[in-house]
Amino acid sequence: MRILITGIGGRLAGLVGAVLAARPETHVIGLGGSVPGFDQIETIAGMPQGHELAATMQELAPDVVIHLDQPGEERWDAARAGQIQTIDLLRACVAARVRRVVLRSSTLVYGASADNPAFLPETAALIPAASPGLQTDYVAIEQIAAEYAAKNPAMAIVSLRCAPIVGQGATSPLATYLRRPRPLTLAGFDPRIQLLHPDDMVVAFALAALGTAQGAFNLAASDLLLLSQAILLAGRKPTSLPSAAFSGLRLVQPVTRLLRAQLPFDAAFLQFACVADTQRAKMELGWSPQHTAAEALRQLMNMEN
Amino acid sequence: MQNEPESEEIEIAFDTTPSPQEQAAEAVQELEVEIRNHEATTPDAQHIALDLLRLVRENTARLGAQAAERVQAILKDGMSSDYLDPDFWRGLGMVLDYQFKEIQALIQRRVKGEYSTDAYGKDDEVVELVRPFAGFLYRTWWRVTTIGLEHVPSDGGVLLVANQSGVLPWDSAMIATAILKEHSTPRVARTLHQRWMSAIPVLAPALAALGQVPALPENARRLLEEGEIVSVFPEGPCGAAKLFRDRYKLAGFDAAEFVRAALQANAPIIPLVVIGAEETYPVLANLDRVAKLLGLPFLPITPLFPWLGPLGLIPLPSKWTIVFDAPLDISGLDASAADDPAIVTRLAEALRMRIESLLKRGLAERPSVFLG
Repeated sequence: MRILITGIGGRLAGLVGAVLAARPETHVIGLGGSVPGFDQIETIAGMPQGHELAATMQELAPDVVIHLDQPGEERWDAARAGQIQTIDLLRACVAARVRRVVLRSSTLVYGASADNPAFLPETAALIPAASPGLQTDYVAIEQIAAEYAAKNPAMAIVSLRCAPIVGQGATSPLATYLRRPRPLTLAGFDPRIQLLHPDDMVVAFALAALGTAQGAFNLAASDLLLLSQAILLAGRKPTSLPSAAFSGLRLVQPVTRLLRAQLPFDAAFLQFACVADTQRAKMELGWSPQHTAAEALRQLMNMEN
Repeated sequence: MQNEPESEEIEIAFDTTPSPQEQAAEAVQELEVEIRNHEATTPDAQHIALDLLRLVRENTARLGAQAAERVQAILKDGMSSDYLDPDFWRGLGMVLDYQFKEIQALIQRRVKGEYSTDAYGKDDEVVELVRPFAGFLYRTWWRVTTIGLEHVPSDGGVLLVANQSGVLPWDSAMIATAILKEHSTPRVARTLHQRWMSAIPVLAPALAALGQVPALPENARRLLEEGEIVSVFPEGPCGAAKLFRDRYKLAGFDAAEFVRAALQANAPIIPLVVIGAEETYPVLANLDRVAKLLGLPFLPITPLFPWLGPLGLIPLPSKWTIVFDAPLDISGLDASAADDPAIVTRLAEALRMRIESLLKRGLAERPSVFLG
């Protein structure tokens, strides 16, 4: 089985490659970087775009493509680039008769809202954020993926909706937020949050590449934390802002503006929960997270000290 | 291994000074004994005084050493055992106020983040801290009589469907307390609270810590499948804002979604009514336009609120009765019945009628709103 991984220079992509390359039946090709110390992975330095990508794909003829060169959460300001790249990639995959494509997505796509059920299933509606950003991008990418999946039944598309990743080699808006010396919170609110350890994410990508399931899967550590608890576990002190709950009042607009400028995600995430149900990934991918959210945070803290 | 308990015993034997918590509890107990020895000219006042002291004692056991010392100091300084003297009540008020603040601080003080909540945000430590207060309200404030608890099975998912009354969700707290205090196998019932409450600061995280979950059918089904007792008030936001003249009339009762959830989870559905909670906050009018401006679903005017400020939130001490009825007959129905709108609607309608007739009977049998 020939597996192509884009963005192989990233730490997580490198780990996914290493896990897959260790299996006898696979041949792993990495695009866009190198994985020092892993001779089994054939790497190509640059990341081709547009027609060039289609040509490369034809030439390499992979069975499975894992797309990890997305507007990673590291570059969440790189707005539309990710969508265009995803369209290019999917088109190239269809042309090259790729069997399976694994995409990275995020549980951000559900948005935070008072109406969210305690555990969001994959079938829940995807909500773009009020302001442009990673959440909106991921929703757009998921919609593109859904269209391609509907039009090309021969190609299975898996999108792995990862809870905020906290740990070495990966970052997420939440990790950025937790690294601030005094993360802002809204007084009177303390939503439940989920995290994902990078190692568990790597395993999920490997399972998705080798398996037969398709569609969207939520990924998150099995324990939940309260936002304030996560901030404390990360060794930070939450800074409460007067709450913007009474949205009818004009008074809160400066607060909302301040939050928008300060936060790497929608202010609603400080107020409401966005907790995904991971049952499907456990049943159909055979995935089971090995690290708790508290553990992931503790590791992050130790790394920084 | 066998030596360990022994050495512990020896340590205890050497350490004869009682802990501040024990000392404070002793001081409370002395007061209790003194009050009991008084000739009861007003048995009601004596009864309430004793119950409040019991609350002080239960709280003290959960507080830190410093807080217990402070409680003891207040008791020694300002309290006589003469419960007919206003100073007694002032002293008791001071102690309780202090304890309440301490407990709040205790909840906020867990600054290291080293505590755990369940998947829905329930924090057992918080539940434990609140239990004495709920017990006091149940026992003394509303003197709740609970009937029919034997209909509630000891394990597995159960859906309790109740009438909604009172502006604040005290009714759900008392249903939960009834099951905790009086059922043969106590369990913490999970209340499905009105969805708009999740948008109210302070209230939202507090409800979550107490094990309450927003009233969505998905949440109901999940909790029932996990074998929890789930109580739901399917009257919607109009239920809580009922005017006093409309009390005990079901407002927009629609339990279909929750009936469906119970069928899917194969859980029994038990109708229940709470009588007495409508009189805790007699709503005279609703300020709809002000409420809209504040982003609230309703803003009630009661004889005490908003005139007395936060004191207006103190519920009136009406006499309550909670009646659990026999479960609806769903024998012969399986999970597929949940997809049949005819069955679901019929069951939801039967539920509404059962609750209405229970209310009618309960109100007719009630001798007095406040006494008893």
